[in-house]
Amino acid sequence: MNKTQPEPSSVSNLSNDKGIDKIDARILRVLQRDGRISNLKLAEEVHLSPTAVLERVKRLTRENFILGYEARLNPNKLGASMMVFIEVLLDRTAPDIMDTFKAAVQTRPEILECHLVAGGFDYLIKTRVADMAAYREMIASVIWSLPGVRETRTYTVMEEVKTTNALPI
Amino acid sequence: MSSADPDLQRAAPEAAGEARAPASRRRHARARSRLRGRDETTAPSTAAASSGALDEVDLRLLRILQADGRISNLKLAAAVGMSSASTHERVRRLVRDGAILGFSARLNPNLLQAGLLVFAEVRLADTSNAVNEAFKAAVKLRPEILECHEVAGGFDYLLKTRVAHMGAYRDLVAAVAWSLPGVRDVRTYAVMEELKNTAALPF
Repeated sequence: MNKTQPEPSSVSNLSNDKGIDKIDARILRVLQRDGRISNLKLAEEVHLSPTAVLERVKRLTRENFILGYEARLNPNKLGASMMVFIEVLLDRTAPDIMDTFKAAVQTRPEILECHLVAGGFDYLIKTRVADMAAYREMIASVIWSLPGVRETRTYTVMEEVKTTNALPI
Repeated sequence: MSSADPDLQRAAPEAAGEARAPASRRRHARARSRLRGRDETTAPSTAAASSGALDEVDLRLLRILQADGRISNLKLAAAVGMSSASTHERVRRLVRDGAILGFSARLNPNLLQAGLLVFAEVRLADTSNAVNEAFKAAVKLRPEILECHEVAGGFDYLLKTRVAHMGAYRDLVAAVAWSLPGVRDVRTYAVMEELKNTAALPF
């Protein structure tokens, strides 16, 4: 724990517990910001030889630190500019109802996220749709038609103050 | 625009063979008209018009890059049946026009001290501009806060955070919320299971 990492946060100091060193962390940070960077440029950024960098990226992928790469697309240009969250309450949290629910949310690509939460409701769903009509159609055919759904609450996003998938490392 | 035409013609037979092409084009047209109608606040209205330049080949490129952001240009070209030079040019145009915002590695939160996903609903005591701006500024400073949305409904902001453990979350709330004057109430929802979690847009 005597590593001198640039981050002041207590969280990132723990990262060497998980078998990554300072250089790995730097590689991950760069790839998180620019997933399409060439190996040569990546090598320059982290001050290593291209061969050594390639080997590290391979290891980080093999060990599941890197799950994949994706283009971040503009929802406003792809008919998905409206973001809506849904809180779902079930009648009772029986296994069969939860399994049905789990299967249903996988069928619709507009549902980006669905989480089982501890607190005042059971599921939190994040959706991206073109407009209110598309949202209504989606919630009617996927959520309201399921057995055991007692109540849904809809929260339309007025402003996305911040949206990223980048992990703090 | 005219430089893209040869690509279009070359790809046309394939595009026509795709059963889902018309549907996605229709959906896209709907999005476009909606953009024109409503998003007048986003400064360049020409941006909405130029989004109309997305054709079936563009959509296919976007779909592939969304699934595999590090695919080689050669493979990408083969997948859409174009030369690698014109594929490269198209991808550059998609980035320039803002259809592609960037490329990212997807990292594993469970191995990187961010395994606990927690949502928070925040209510402000008063929704004056000063209070809102102070809150937004505080949110932007903290990398553990992945998302923050101003919502219409029972509360003001929905936060999505990733932290190592509950102690780290408590520190985060203390720093972002309790140190600010305008925060009335924070409700915490820890995620027990992530049934689905993707950033991939449906199109």
